[in-house]
Amino acid sequence: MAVTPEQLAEKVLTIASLPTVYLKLMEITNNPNSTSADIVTLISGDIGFSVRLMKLVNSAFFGYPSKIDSLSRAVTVIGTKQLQELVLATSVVDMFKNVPTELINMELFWKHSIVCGVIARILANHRREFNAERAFISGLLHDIGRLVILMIIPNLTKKTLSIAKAQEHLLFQVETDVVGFTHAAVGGALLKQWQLPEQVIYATQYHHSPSVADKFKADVALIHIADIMANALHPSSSGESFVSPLNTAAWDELGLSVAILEPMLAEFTQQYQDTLSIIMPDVAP
Amino acid sequence: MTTINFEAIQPGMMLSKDVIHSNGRILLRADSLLTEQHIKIFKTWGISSVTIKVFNGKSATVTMQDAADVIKAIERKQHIKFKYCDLNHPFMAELFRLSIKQELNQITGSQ
Repeated sequence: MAVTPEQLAEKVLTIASLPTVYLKLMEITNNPNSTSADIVTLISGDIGFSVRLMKLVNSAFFGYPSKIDSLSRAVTVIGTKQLQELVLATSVVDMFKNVPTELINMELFWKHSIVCGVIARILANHRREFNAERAFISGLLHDIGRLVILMIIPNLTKKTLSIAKAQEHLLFQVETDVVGFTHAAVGGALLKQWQLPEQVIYATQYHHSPSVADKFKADVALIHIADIMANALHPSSSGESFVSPLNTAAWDELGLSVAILEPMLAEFTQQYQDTLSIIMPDVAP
Repeated sequence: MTTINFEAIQPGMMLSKDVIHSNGRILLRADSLLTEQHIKIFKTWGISSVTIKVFNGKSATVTMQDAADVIKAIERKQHIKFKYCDLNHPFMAELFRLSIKQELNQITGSQ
């Protein structure tokens, strides 16, 4: 059976598709004739999302001086780009709601993803040329391929997990042996079909093999480092029990100092709790 | 007898009261002379203040075996988690140190 990462990604789209609110929002924002009133109309049709949006714009993270109490103000304050990312984040969590839970703890999976996204966003703020929100989305989606593999070929996932556990191996390396490719390749293929920004696709596809990426080296390095930090410093996990080995060139690429790590942990705790309460309101940190 | 802020504690000072963790465990008995190591352990266990003697008195040394055991167990656990990492790299060495600190914070419930 020779499947490709692309085939897995295609298959998952037939059983779980992105919610229409995201697709409609993309349509509106790509249409030069649309106005922000169209966006407000769309969002107001989704009560759950409207509530989250109001919560976000009024959170400490935005730090807006006065209370924002209308959807149209909220849409203006947050801006189209960030709105897209928020809708994407909540949509993706909803999309994979029905993943069989015998093989994966979904709460820990999303926590690891959010931890990685928040760390990536904080690291991105240390360098001017990075787009912090894109860094967050890349971190959030970097392991998404794992869910695709799990849904389409659960028997191979089972085998991968048991071998990794028994032999105490890195999960992504066992994936290559058992499945033929890693979750990173599958994730990249899925994000390509969603037509996400190329930097996000690259960061996802090469987060375990940064030296293979032929462009967007910094975006890839950012997620490689954020993933290592998430596994090292937070008890959540997408299934991996070990901290992945460091690609030293990726660390050098970021040009960061080791001294920023400890101070950023305090910043992390607050941002993580805010972000988690917006994306997964029912889950305790 | 006086209570001072943690930052003001120095090695060589003498405890006038037992240092007790919020879980009820006594970390260090009264009359112990503080060492650098004690202070480090107090920090990792989230002790925010201790009571010391401001004049010389008798000292009785109590070992910190329990706290040291906890730290050793965490270090062992983290060494397994980091077994594919080169801890000689400054970034990984710092992450390793911070991860142990995080684990200790989780046990003691402090930040």
